[in-house]
Amino acid sequence: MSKNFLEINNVTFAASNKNKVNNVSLNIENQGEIICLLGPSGIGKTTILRTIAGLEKIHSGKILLKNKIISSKDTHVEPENRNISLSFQDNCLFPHYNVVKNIEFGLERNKNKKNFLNMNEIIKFLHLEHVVEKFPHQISSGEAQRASLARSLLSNPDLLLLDEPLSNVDQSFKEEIQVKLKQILTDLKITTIIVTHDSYEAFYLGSKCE
Amino acid sequence: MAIKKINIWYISSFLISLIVAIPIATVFTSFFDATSNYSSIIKDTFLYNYIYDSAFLLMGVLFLTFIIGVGCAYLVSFYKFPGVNFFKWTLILSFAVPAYIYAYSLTAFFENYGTAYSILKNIFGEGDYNAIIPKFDGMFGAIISISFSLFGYVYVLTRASFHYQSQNLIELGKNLGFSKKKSFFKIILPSARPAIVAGLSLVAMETLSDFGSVSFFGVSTLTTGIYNAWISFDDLTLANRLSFYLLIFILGIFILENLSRKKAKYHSPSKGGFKSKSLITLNNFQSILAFSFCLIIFFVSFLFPVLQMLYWTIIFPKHFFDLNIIELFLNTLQLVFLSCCVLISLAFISNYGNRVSKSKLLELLTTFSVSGYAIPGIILAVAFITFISWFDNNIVMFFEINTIKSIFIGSILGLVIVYFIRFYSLACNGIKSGYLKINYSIDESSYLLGYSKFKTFTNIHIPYLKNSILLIGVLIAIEIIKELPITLIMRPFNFETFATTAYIFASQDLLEAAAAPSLFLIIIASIFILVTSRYILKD
Repeated sequence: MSKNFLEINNVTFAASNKNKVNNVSLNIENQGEIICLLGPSGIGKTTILRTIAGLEKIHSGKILLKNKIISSKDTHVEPENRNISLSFQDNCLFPHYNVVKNIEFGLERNKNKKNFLNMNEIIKFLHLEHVVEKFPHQISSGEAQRASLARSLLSNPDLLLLDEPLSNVDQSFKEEIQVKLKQILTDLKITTIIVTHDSYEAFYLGSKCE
Repeated sequence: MAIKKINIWYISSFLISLIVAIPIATVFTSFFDATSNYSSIIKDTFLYNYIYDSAFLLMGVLFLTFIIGVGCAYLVSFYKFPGVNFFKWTLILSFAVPAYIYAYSLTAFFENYGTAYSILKNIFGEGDYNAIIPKFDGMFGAIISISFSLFGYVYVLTRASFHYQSQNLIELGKNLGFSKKKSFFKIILPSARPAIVAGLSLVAMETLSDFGSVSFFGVSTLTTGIYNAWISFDDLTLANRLSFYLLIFILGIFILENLSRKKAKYHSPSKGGFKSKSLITLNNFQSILAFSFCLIIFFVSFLFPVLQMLYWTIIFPKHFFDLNIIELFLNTLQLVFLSCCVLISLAFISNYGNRVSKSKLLELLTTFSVSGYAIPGIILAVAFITFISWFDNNIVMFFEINTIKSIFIGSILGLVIVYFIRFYSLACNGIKSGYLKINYSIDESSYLLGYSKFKTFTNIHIPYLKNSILLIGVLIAIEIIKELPITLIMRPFNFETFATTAYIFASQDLLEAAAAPSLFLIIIASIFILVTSRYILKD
């Protein structure tokens, strides 16, 4: 039996010519590791995240999380049952709820657990205090991206997947957020896979880059 | 590959679409059944008359609705004149007046010794005014009644299209040295063509399915032929066969409308290139002309039937007091409430099933089932009865259990089912257009936060679409308040609504007695329209 926290073995998936990955393998040995996937556009970084999250079924290979098969040719654990959180590149806030309500949605999965992350602290650390009452269409794309990150962090997942999490964030906040993000992820031992274009971000945040 | 599997949503959605598709399929299958002798008589005598009258009526109505609808939309979209904001929304009130009530008003006003005669007599004293008062009956009366009741479709869609025409387009015409007239015919009108065609297609479908006004004026269209074949000659197969001809006619229009809508996509201006229009202020004389045109249309389409019905209600109070208004109101409300609940909830489930399963087969079945809107209510009612009879005679009898006819025919349940089939497209397409605004990644975000499909449906989609639901509910309510043929055929014994009461009095030549129920019908429908006018006119 494998002892890796996350194991991706020869995964192949193709939805179209544009969205495909072939024979991808990746291991995360220990809980709390931060992995960065760095590479040019179109090589399937986002698609890998989507297959891990369960939004796409794989054609061959298998994905194991905490020694349990979550994806294979015959098995597919639904995304809502994986406790994996994905923060999308283009923010996916619910347009009819304000920012604070959107962030609160992150609490759903861990309603009955003791939350070791405080919502107000996350809002403060991501500089969202001034927009919490606003609706997604009233805030900038950088603010929306931070709100989406806050929601993902609050959901306290086994595995956090971040797709270009800070690509739209203002440069003045970016470095500060990177520092605090790394601190939170490390302190709370949240295993994370980050997809990014930014090599500086990748080397700073990641304990390992692929 | 998308997450695909046959789940409860898929099965529910499939079953809903199947139920809606059954009567439509029944019309097609009945084409091969044997008919009575009446069939050959019809073929040799009335059939061409039915087709000729249907085509003539259609042409007349399309011409008038085009002139009125496009004319009004053009004036309120491009020019500034006194009352323009008032006319923008009052012109849609014509939706509240069904063609058959317009027909009653028209006859009441212009008939011998009618309201027009009384007015002239009061002003000028006794005289032979009947000879000079024009008569609106037969085909002419039907064209006028249907046109003034339906031009709203062309007006609303064309106005929306004009509203979205960029100032750049108008300025382009000016740069090319076009006169106002040339700009209108060469630039403005062609770019609004998809919207105009879409509006005219809706008018065409409604015209061909009209029963109340054509039967009142004695015009023999295919729809009245279907009714006669079924009621007078008890020949359901012939009724279905005539329905089939009409269906082919309507499907042709439906395809035209679909093609036109696809084209319309290409006419949507991009966000960046759009420049709001500056309205042209008209000089005094032109202002008076524009104001008069809109006022006349508003008066003729809405105020005239309302005033005529009000006048008769006042001068014949006995009929008003004989009417059990509370009962009629509650009956109408009951149908509206039940139908809205059934239609909205099932259309919601069907749309969500389509969304999560992403199945081509389901999509195809749904597309087929929404064509019920193009089928006249009378055909759907007949097809439903045909299907229930077949089911009762073959399936129920086989298992030797009690007949189910009385459960579905002449009952509220049967009535609501046929309403459901008739207006399913309205509810389904309305919710679908709301769903198109919700990106799939919103659903995915919800799943990833631990929400199941059901919770995503209740916590994300329903709150997001609540405005669409309200609008669809009101539109369904307006249609059901006005609906006549289905209610007439499917209602339980002694169950009346404002629409059926008005029709029954009018068919007995008791127009003055039809006034009060007609007036109440218009008032209730108008309230619903006013509540949603800002959504209907939302560009």
